[in-house]
Amino acid sequence: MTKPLEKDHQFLTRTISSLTDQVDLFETFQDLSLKIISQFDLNAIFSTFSGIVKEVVSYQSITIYLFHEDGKRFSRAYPLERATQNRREDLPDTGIIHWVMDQGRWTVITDFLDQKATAITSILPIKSPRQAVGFLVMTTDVDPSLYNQKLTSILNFLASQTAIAIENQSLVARINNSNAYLTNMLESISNGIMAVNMKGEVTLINKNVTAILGIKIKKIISLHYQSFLKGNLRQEMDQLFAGILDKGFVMESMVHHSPFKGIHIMIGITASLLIDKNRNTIGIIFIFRDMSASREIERLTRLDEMKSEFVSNVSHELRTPLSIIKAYSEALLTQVKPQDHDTREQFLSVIDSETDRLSTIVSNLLDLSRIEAGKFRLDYSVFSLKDLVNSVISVFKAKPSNIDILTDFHENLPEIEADLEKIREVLINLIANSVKFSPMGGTVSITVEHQEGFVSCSVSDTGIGIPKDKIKHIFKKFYRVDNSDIAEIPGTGLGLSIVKHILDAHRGRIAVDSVLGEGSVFTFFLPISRS
Amino acid sequence: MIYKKSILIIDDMKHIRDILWFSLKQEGYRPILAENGQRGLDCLFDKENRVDLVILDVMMPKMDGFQVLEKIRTSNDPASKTPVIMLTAKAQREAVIKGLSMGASDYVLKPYKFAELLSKVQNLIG
Repeated sequence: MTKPLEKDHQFLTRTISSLTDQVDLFETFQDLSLKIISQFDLNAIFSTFSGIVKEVVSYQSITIYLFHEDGKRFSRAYPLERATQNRREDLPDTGIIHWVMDQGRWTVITDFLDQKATAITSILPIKSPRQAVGFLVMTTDVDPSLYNQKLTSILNFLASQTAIAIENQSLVARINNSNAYLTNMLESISNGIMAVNMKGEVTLINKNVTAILGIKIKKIISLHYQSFLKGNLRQEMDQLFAGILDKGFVMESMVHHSPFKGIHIMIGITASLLIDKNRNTIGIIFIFRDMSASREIERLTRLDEMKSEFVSNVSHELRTPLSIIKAYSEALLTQVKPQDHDTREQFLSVIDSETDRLSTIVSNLLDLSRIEAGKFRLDYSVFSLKDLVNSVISVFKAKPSNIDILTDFHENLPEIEADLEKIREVLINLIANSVKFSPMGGTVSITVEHQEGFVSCSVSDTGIGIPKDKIKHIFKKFYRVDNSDIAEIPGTGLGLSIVKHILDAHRGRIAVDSVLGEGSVFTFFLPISRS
Repeated sequence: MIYKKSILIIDDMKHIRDILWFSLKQEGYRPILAENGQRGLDCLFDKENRVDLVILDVMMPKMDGFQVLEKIRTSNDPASKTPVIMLTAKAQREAVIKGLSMGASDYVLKPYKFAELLSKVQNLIG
């Protein structure tokens, strides 16, 4: 009764041993396929693959070819340089290759009847479940059909794993390419772009953000934006962050920022929500724009508008006194009787004052062109500001007007070193303005005082005053406060800008205080000496 | 007694009003003065006045000459047909064309020659 037992025992031993073999085989398969699939670099895949093949088959040479996208043409992929011992490319006929691909397994193609054949050539198709990826051409000394079935299936399996690895690799390459494409796009945008997750940590950023915001930290990804943004900018970002999560969609804002010491720019920020395909909010994207350029264009456009306004103002300003002079002198020549002394006197004084007005306009224009041409020079002399003020107001007092001009000179005023003619111009402009902007009459008071190293001179009037929001503009070239609803007051918008320029050149300064409807006070300060 | 034709002068510049008043008076007209557009319109449409011609400045604050002209020409008052000479410092062709197309009878450019203005006045009202 032992015999059947013996038999059973032998059967069991065989079965176990064959199962162990199979387990070993599977383990080997798994090992090898992991080795191949874990490679993401084509060359690494090929060398791993050929290395493993070498362990099972001792070949003379192998060459790997990959099919092109059309699935028909192919080219050599490994090794890229033909080995020196390979005298010629032992590439089999295309028809045979495609036939082997269709077979889908390792196939010997050497014609055994060819006595001259020094080696045996075989083709191993590299096929994934989806497509034919390529093939391996191998030359061996021994007929591969001598290898057992197990080996053949290992090789076929390895080839299919390699095909999958190659496919994966090309997917990875494509993803990398499109990543690089997106990165390039992101970097070529002139605005700063920064995305943060819901916690406020940076998930994406382009270089322009660091340039525009002046951030010096190199690695910003995954830092919280609060850790590298300070001051105004951080406050604004906090508000945008909270605001957009609350209200959604898109928010815009502007903020003053100083990216580097001494540089101030205006930054426009647009915040919008980042939404994934399931419509969940996953973060916020911020776009930063340097508004300086657009503000500069705005400024230039405004300057251009002011210039054309100026040209039309100037031509009106020049024509008006000219028309008056022309009309009065024509009347004097043709209509006024020689014995009518009163009318003659009256007409001549109109001509005289209009000529003064013309010459002021012309000298202002000349000053402006000198300033513009950079030919503005001071001609210093030492003189008494008090005497100069008196000489200027004597001219104003000589003209008939309903305005009182009062003076208040403090005692012991020192003489000053300055350009007398330019300071005369300053006084004429300021006093003429005071008179001009007091159309209903009133009082102009001029006060000269001595302060430490300076003399100050203030010209105050009881005129129409300057609106608060316009005061900061009045020293700009061509600027005129639009007060046409109060009265038409002629002017070119040059006087005060020239005044300021003259005082700046003397290292002096000018201040203005005004109440709309009550009057204005212009005070200028001049250093007593040039040094 | 010979009837003196009356001329309404609308100009914001006092010196211009004064000299036109003087010169037109010398030529035997009766000048009436208005220092802005609204005063001018009030005067023109006042039944007590009879205005034979208007001399109208273009560059004036608040209501410019074109606006005054439009108000004159679009009113139902018989005075809306009064001849108007535009007095303009704007030498631009556009301003002249604009004035004429709005119904101005004639124009004189500043600085004007009085003889030219006078002959245009005479052409219109004799």
